[in-house]
Amino acid sequence: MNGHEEIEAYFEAASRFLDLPIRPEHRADALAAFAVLAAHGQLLKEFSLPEEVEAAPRYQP
Amino acid sequence: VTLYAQSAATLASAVKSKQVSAGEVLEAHIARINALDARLNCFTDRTFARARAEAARVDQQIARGEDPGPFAGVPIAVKNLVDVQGLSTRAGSKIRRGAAPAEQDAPVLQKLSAAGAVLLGALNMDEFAFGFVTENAHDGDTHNPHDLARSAGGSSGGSAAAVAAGLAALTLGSDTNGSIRIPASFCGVFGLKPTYGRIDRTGTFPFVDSLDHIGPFARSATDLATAFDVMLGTPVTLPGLKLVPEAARIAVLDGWFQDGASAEMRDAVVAVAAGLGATARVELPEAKRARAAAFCISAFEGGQLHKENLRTRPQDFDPATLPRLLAGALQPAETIYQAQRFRAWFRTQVAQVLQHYDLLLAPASPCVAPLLGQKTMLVNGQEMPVRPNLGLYTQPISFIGLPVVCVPVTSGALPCGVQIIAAPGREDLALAAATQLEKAGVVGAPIASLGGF
Repeated sequence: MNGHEEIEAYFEAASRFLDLPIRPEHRADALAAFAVLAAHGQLLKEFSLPEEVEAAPRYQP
Repeated sequence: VTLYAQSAATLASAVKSKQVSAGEVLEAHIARINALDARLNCFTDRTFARARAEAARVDQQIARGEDPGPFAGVPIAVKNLVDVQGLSTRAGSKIRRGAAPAEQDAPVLQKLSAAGAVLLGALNMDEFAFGFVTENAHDGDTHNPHDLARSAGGSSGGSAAAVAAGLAALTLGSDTNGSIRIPASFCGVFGLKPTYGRIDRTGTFPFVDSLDHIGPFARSATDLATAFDVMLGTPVTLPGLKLVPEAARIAVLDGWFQDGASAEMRDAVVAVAAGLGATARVELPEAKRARAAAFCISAFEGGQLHKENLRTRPQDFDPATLPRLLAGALQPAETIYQAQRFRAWFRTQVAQVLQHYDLLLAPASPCVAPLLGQKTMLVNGQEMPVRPNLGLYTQPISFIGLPVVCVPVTSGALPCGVQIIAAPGREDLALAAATQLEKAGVVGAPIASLGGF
């Protein structure tokens, strides 16, 4: 599980790589929101899904 | 007769039988809005000139012996993310206030108008539908008609509060993670979140394409059914409203859907279960992770949708919305891929549960309406932030697109909403159960007293 340091490092790198600059006055709130999402993401990451589960849509009549 | 307190069906019937004119019904509602909305802040746009023209048309049709439709002369209003010809579809934002006015009504509104409805205006919401409280930095807070110090819920807060206060007989809202069900619960009105994809979203401003639904609020389950059928374009629901599933096929959701709920919310579920004779209890596996996945997908898709404005004019977003959209857009692809795979798995798991049960019951919210501006609440004895946690019980359900009728239990000091959840495409069963409960007096949506107004 990532700690705050890793979360902050990713946040900064992703902001640069995706060209989505965060203004200094918005940074603390955006980082806090990202930490919440990261915790939710961790819940998904640690759950082992069966291999055959696909993200593909299904078209049912 | 207090016209603003009547259901849509009662009003339409009175108009058709010439007991009252559509014009009189409209003016009663306009007077109510003028008297109360300064305190409630439901309406962001008022279309009274259009409404008067529509009401006059309905009265002319009736004078000619024609049937204007099931909503003859019924005053309605729509969340301000639904296109209304001539208005900018602002979706609760400052950014879209200057958008070109809609050239035509959204198809859902066209259908309601063609059924005789009269449009009063557009309604307040959380910015870009990303919230559960309708505390909007640009348009102000919408107040709960049952207690003005409390939240109306969100993001369709204006839609729920307008119905609860008798400002409109029927309104439209949208639900991505609970934005119809949470405000319906807080304001004590009926709300329908249809099956994902079943009601046309054309002409409505999106939040999360893969999770967005349009649906109605009303003060009776029959009005929800009528609105659903009108928007669907075929009468699939109303003919079947007597077909309530047998009690053995109805279960209360246990585990995640009980753990954090307040005593009054749990009592409301018990009352609804008793009203339907249901005694079974069942758990949905990994509901907590389903909620987490919905949370991540929502922030991601919302963030992508608004990315250009997040880059160029972040200062124009509501401060409550901006950080969540920014954070959402930055999430790793791995999270979103895993969330989508989880969605496929969870849908299959719940489909198996729905082989055994036709209807599932759960609280709509963990608590009754919090105070406006309230930061934290107790869930399971733990202090948690209010805003992100009001959707604990709604998010896992909309995540897989199931239809839900939110029914109001109003026996306590403040209303409590209960979700009646059905299999995809079975709105008719949930609406039938809601109708039975309403007839038995277990649920109901009386007009908020508003200090005697």
